[in-house]
Amino acid sequence: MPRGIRSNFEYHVPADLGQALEMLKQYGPDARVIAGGTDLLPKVKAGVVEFGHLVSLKELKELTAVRFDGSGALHIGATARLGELERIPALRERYPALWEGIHSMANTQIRNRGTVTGNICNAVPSCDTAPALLVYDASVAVRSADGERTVPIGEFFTGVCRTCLKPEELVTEIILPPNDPRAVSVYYKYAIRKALDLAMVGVGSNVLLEDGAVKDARLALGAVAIVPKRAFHAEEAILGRQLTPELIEQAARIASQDDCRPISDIRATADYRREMVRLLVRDALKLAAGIKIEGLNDEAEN
Amino acid sequence: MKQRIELNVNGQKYEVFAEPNAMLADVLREDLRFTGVKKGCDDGDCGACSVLLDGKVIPSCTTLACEVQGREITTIEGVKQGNLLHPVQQAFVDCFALQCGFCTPGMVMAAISLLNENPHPTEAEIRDYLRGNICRCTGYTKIIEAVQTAAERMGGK
Repeated sequence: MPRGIRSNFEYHVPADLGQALEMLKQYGPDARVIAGGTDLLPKVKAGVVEFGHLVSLKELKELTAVRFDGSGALHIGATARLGELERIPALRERYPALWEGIHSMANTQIRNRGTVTGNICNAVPSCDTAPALLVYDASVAVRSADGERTVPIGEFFTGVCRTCLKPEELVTEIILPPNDPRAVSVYYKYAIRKALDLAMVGVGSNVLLEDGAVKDARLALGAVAIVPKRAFHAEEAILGRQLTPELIEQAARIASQDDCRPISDIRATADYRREMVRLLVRDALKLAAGIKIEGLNDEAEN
Repeated sequence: MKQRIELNVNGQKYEVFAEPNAMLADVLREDLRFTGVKKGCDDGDCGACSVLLDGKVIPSCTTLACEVQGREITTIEGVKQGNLLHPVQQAFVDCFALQCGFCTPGMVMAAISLLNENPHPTEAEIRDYLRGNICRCTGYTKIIEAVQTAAERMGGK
């Protein structure tokens, strides 16, 4: 009698990447991949997904690596654990929004099993690592038995729990280009609980000022559209301009009106989410401009 | 189809026959009788089933047994030192950090994992690390005190 789980499946442990890709090609949509399993297994238990073949990545040592290359870009192997990433000081220092996104997730136990790649492949709109990956302009390296391609993170998500991946494709790593050390980046997650809660709204930002003017700005929003997405209108509003309190208010309003399409659900109403987008984008831009932030994020920063 | 699974639990090798979909928590409790592993939510959300995998705390209810073959698994049954309780266990006793006790094995395992990583945690770090371990009796204050007490007594060891 299977315990805990209703459906059964054949369990495969490929010895290397080539074997894994062959299996995915052979079994197609009837296969699922497991790294941490913290998203997949609860779904299997709930009977939400069923499949005939489970392909384990546990022996693919080539997917565990986390490294900075010669150019300073960060490569995160597909099976690198969230908890392990959290413990890399250089990651926290150079990509603080990603660190905050990771740290805000779930609990310690789950982060010791789960992966960033699993988080984006699961592709819920509230995915906590996506806003950071978007503001750092990350790309996703994808392999199949027939070839490889690199997908910009902005094109990776195609819908609620949907990605551009084909059944036979496997993400091998996520690459974050070097970020200007002068840029200020942050991820704000707004949720009721600190543990095991999904974001009502997530806001990521990465802003570079030069002589007081915005030289480069990326803003991204989670949980307020069918996919995590950049706030292009708000970015455009500030690019090349002095980041004054008035401009910040204006850009935050634009983000909340033109850059998102939230829904009302059990966590929050659409209007509430828009208002939170406005406040969090405002705070993220204040942080970038070195203006004191009062209220809302006092607690979030602790 | 059942398959042979080799698990290394509390320093000893065990061989069980289980379906590939068997969760580590179920195998530990039912096949190997390590019933100190508790199942609360069975969804990775409450921390009661916490065990150590190579010294780091994981949710055993949301981990396939076959995925952790060849790794070092530690349950609450494996933490005592000779005839003495582990300092974290002893601190839980001394600080009255438990009432019904259901969350306690998970709390202790998470606290041991924390002290492995960070021998001198601040209160905020303790609260953050244990944020996914839910207790419905104590209100957490005494649990935090117990972890602080254990950290002091262990002195970074």
